[in-house]
Amino acid sequence: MSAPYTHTDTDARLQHLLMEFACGSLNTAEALVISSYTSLNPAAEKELSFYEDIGGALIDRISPTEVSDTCLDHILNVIETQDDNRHITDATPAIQPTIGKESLPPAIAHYVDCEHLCDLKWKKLFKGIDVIDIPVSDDTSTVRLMRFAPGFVAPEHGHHGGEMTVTLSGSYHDKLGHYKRGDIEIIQDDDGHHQPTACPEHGCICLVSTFAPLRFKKPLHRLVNQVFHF
Amino acid sequence: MIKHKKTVKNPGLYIVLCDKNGRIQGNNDRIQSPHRRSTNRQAMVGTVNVNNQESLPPFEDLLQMVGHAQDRQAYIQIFEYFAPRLKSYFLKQGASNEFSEEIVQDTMIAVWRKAQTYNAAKSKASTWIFTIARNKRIDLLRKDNRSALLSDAHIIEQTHEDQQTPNIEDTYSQYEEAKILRDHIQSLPSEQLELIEMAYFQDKSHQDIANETQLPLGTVKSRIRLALGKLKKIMDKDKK
Repeated sequence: MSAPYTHTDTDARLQHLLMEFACGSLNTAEALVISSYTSLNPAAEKELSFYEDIGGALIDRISPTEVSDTCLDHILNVIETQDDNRHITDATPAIQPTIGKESLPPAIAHYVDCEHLCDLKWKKLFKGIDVIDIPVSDDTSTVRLMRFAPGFVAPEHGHHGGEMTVTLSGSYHDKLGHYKRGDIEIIQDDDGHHQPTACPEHGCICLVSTFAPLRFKKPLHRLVNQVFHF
Repeated sequence: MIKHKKTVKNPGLYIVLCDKNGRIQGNNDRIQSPHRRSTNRQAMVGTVNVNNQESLPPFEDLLQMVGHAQDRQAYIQIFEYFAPRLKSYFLKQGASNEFSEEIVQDTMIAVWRKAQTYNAAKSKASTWIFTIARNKRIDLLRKDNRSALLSDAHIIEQTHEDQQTPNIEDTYSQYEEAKILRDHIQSLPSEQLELIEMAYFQDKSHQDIANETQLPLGTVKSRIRLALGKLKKIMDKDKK
């Protein structure tokens, strides 16, 4: 029997994740998801900025510790030698969003070496699901871009360690809600099984991070998962 | 014309000129050749009282001077204030003296290199520098190039959607807001302030804090949430 689930639970979980991201205490997989989410969702970005403001204000309050005499000179030497190429390495032109070419969150763009969803190079996993693995250094988590064909219904499954999903394009729904670009779904161990269904018209592209192998409800799906480590 | 070109005097420290695009006007006196830097470093010691929170210089202006005009004197003032505080921040997180200095250097070099992307309309100087410091520390600890890209991306992404050009009011309101936030943090009950400082300074998850303080996890979470919620409410109210 799954635990009762409310939006307040998600809000509280999300608030803690944003706070912990601001403090720098999330692991790489969680940080990737939260970074992607805040880049697509202005309200979340604003909330994150508030938590980061607190970090800034705490730095202001801290008692200073003397740095070595050579510290500044060393830095000035480095920046003088780097000055020649600073415009080349650091010019970050504002990217104008192009209609029909939704951009990837910058954190993900670095991993997959492209900036738009339409340029991604997918690997077929099953009929109706394509994936791109995002290699993170945490052994306990899997981070993947997943593309679901229009109307695709995923096998019903639960989660041992939780799952976070940020929708990048299209939409999907499950028993907990309907999710579109810039939305996040956070599932924890106790949320029971769910069965995401992709939008019948556009399908769905998501960034999915799972913190332990999925628990499929049907034995056949469980067997298949021993091969694919979904 | 008059409307855009303004002279704003910040608390006895600088006169900053903005052109109609909100760019800080370069003051040639401030742009120095490298061999003059030690003299100027001496010269500014008396001008900024870094220990008095009430008279912090407007670092938002200084960062923009670094970004637009590669102003070394402005940069040195930022260094003089932030480097010793960043060192304390890294030390508090358990880094050795040597490692702390290394991250201070990396962070301050990044501040110089990224100053062009700093947008005063979007963030306070102390916040911007804090995020760079936090990310540098994570990168050096993980020694993982990919996560370095992640933290760089997080800084860069703030510039992707920047359509606003900062103007002097933005700079000044960030400066004022930062001051108000510091005051309110100061007035938090000590048990709340202590937990918040643990969360931000000691790289501890809420679970770790609960273990260390022997408080139930729920209590840690609710105290932190209560404190941050209170601050958020006050800051939102002040903005209106």
